[in-house]
Amino acid sequence: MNVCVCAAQVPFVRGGAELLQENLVAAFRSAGHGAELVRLPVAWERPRLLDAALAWRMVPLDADLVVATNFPSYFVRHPRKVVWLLHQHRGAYDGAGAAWSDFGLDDGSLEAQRLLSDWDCRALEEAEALFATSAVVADRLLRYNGLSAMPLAHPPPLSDVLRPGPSGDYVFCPTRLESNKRPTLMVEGLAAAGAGVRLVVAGSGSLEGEVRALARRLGVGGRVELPGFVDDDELVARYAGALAVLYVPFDEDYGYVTLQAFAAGKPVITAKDSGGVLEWVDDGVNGLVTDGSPGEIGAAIDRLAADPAEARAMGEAGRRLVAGLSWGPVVERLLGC
Amino acid sequence: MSAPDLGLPDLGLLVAPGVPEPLRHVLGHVRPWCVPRVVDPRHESAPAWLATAWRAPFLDRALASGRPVAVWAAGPADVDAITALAGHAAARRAAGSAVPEPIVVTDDPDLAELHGVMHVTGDVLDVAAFPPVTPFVRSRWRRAAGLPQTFVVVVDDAGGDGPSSVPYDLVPTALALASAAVVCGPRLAEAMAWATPCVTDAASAAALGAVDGSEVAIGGDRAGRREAAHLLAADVRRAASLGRGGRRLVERRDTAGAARRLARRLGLAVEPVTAAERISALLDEWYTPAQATIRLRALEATAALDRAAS
Repeated sequence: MNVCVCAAQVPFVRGGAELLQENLVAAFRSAGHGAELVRLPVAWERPRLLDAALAWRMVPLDADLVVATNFPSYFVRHPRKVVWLLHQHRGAYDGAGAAWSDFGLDDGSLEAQRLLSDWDCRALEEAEALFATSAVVADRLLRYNGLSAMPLAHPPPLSDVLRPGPSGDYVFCPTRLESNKRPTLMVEGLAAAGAGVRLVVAGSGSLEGEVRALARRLGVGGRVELPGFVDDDELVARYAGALAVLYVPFDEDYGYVTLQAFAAGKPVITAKDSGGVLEWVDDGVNGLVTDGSPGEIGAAIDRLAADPAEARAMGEAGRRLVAGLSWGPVVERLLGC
Repeated sequence: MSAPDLGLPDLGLLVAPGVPEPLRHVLGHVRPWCVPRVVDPRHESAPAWLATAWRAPFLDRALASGRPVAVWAAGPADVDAITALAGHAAARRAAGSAVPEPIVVTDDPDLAELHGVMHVTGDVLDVAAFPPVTPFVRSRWRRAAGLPQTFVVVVDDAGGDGPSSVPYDLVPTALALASAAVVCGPRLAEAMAWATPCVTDAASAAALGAVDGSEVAIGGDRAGRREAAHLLAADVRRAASLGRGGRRLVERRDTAGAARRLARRLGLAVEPVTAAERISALLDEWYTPAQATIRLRALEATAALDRAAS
């Protein structure tokens, strides 16, 4: 079978969505199918938001099946369309009114929201099957559009090479330094913890300067390391040597970091509003779910630092949980509609 | 022969006494594509035909003409009669000349399940005039308007003899903003066109073919319906699902849409040619408002292409 995986392209940006799409294409090919990744550029500003959606309606795709993954690629027209939804345009939904969204309560925003939500309903209803990457994404679709999607989990990147290692003296997080990932909260949590534990945040972003300044102000500048972007080998090594992974994003869609942490046998410290992370972290079993306050985050770090055996046991529990994740079942479900 | 002042193809009408009301509504919406005109097939030809009953005069001649023919059927017996007529017409055609299968048009919901039958409802509601509003967007509208987040309205409860919480001239606004609404009687279709999460009575639901739990919630007595509406308003997921289901239902029943489908099946709908026309047709299919930004941007993007092509 020839399959086209459809995706939005944001020029010069590469992240989890791009990794998922590329890995999905590779999975189809490994299963003996022809597969191509088809991407169209998208602009996020409200006046241009539907341009790419309309473009997808016009694009002819000659394939046996198309699998659309994110907004606006699911506007593609095809007699056999399956949607495996990473996310809709969150700025118009749960992000409306946030500082990073251009959807407010003015008339133009409200009509744009109305039209976009209606278009989303129509495009997604065309699919012969509707999946979501997580229960969080599926629930948003139900709340905002009244449509039901089946959660379909997949393995994270590097799942075949991540490995446990001796617990070190740091909590680790590979993430973009942007507001929704809450790197400043991680620094505040470290500051509330006892001395002796460091924080390593691997990634870059617009908040790097702010994070460094905050660490100095809180007196933990010497315990916070920001190595920037790290390659895969270093990433694997950093996971392996960590005491635990600290991951406290706001309302995450899926959360590769969680699954990578578990693949590396490390427990995850998270927050009760971290979204998709909570579909995997079981408080006290494979990690710790805090209320998201710096005090509780600090206490969680102290608890694992004081009892490395408990940390290892939790990490092992996480590793068992994700051991069965593979691309084969994903391919079967997507093709089997 | 085309009406010279319109440039549209004729739809030859073969009229039996008593044009069914649903068909009359459909004919009222075919003007964008064709001009209905009573034609005598003994003396004139037409690109396509529509008979208002299988007993319409000279239907057999229209069937034998080789042109597309649609015939109204009131029930299963009519379908049998139409099939028999078509068979006779085929026999009269010269060998090798095919006679198209007549398109059976009906408002009988049971016949609608038959392959190839075109079901129309004749609903007078102009669905395109009602922009659907999901519960999430409604909550944003209410917030902008300073209204409470739980906003349950009662419109024409119990078929018109019950009290309404909304003044008559504010009903459309209320239906567009409500987190849930009790609507019985003829205004239920309008409420569903707004994608309003609706609670109704069994009779009103049955009149539209609406299914409990899929397109509406059916309440018991008047007090029960009000309670059900408050529960629905508090359940955003169920409200979103019912609102969307209701909108889908009225679109399936949309008479203008049925007219478009009929024109296409009769070969009378002119397919869009220019880039602007194609995009406009796409946008029309999704009831995109005329003043929507995306229409203007699409026209801007294609204007140069169409100028070059012309």
